[in-house]
Amino acid sequence: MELVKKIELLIEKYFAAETTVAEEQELRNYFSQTDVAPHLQAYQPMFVYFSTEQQESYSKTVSLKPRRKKYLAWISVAAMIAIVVSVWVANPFQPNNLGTYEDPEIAFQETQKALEFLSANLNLGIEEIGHLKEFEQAKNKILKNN
Amino acid sequence: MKQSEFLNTVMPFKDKLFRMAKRLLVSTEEAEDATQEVLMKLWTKNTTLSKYKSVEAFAMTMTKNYCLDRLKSKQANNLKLVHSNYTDGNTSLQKKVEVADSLQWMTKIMNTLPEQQRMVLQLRDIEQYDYDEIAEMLEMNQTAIRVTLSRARKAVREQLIKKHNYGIG
Repeated sequence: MELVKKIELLIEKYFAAETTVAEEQELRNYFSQTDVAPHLQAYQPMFVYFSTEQQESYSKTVSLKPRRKKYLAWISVAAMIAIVVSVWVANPFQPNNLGTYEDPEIAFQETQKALEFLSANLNLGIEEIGHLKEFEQAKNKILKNN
Repeated sequence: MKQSEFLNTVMPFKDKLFRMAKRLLVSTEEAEDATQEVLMKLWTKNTTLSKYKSVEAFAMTMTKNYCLDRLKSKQANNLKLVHSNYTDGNTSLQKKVEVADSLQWMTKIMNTLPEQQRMVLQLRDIEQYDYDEIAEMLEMNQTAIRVTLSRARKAVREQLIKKHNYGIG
C-alpha cells in the first residue's frame, strides 16, 4: 500500500509536469509490471507505450553521399550538351566552301570555260525548240481552212 | 571532422532523431527520409559542428524544423500512413493482446495531439531529456515547456480514462 500511495502522489506531480526524470522512470517501472492497482490501471497504457516507443530504432544505414536528386541535375546537364553537339554537327545551314583562285588570269579562263559550257548547253536546248515551228505551221493551215 | 569521427558523434542519437521524426510525420518511410536528410545536412556542416555546445540538441532542432516544414508543404499531405507494429516481451501472453490493443489506442491518441505537445511528450516521456535540453531543442523557454507538457499529459489522460470507463476494446 505504501507503494501505491507513493505512485498516486507521483502521478499527481506527473500531470502537473513537476516530476524529475528519475521519478518518471519510477512510474514507468511500476506500470511495466503486471501487478498494478485496479484504480491506476487506466494509466498503464500511457507508461507502457512510452517505454516501448523508446526501443524503436533507425534501421537504415547512414550514408553520407548525396542522393539521386543531385544526379538528376547532372543528367540534365549531360542531355543539354548532347543536344547542342548533335545540332552543331548536323547543321543544315552550314555554308559550303567552294574554293577560290589566286591568279586572276586563271580565274578569268575558268569563268569563261564555265560560261561557255553553260551557253553550249543552252543552245542545245534552243535547237530542240526549233521543232515547235512544225506545230505552228500545222495550226495555221487548220485556221486558214476554217 | 572526419567521416568516421562524424559517424561516432551521430550514431548515439540517430535513433532519437528518427523517433522524433516519426512522432511528427507518423509514417516510417517519411521519418527515415527525414532522418537521412538531417544527417546529410549535419555532415555538410561538419566543419562548423564543433562550435555547437551540443550537437545532439542542434540535430534535434534541425529534425524538428525539417519535419514541421514537411508537414506544411503540400507534398506531405498525401503521405500519411499509420504504422502500428509493436513488439513487447515483458508481459504475459494472456495480457499481450490487451496491451497491444491499448498501445494502438495510445498511438491514435498521440496523433490527435497538436505538434507542439507531441514534440514535448516525445522528448520528455520517451527520450527523457532534461527541461533545459528540451528548451534548447525546441527553442522555447522552460516554463512554456512545462505548461505544454502538463497539457499534453492531461490531454492523453482524459482520452485514456474516457476509453477505460467505456471499456471499448
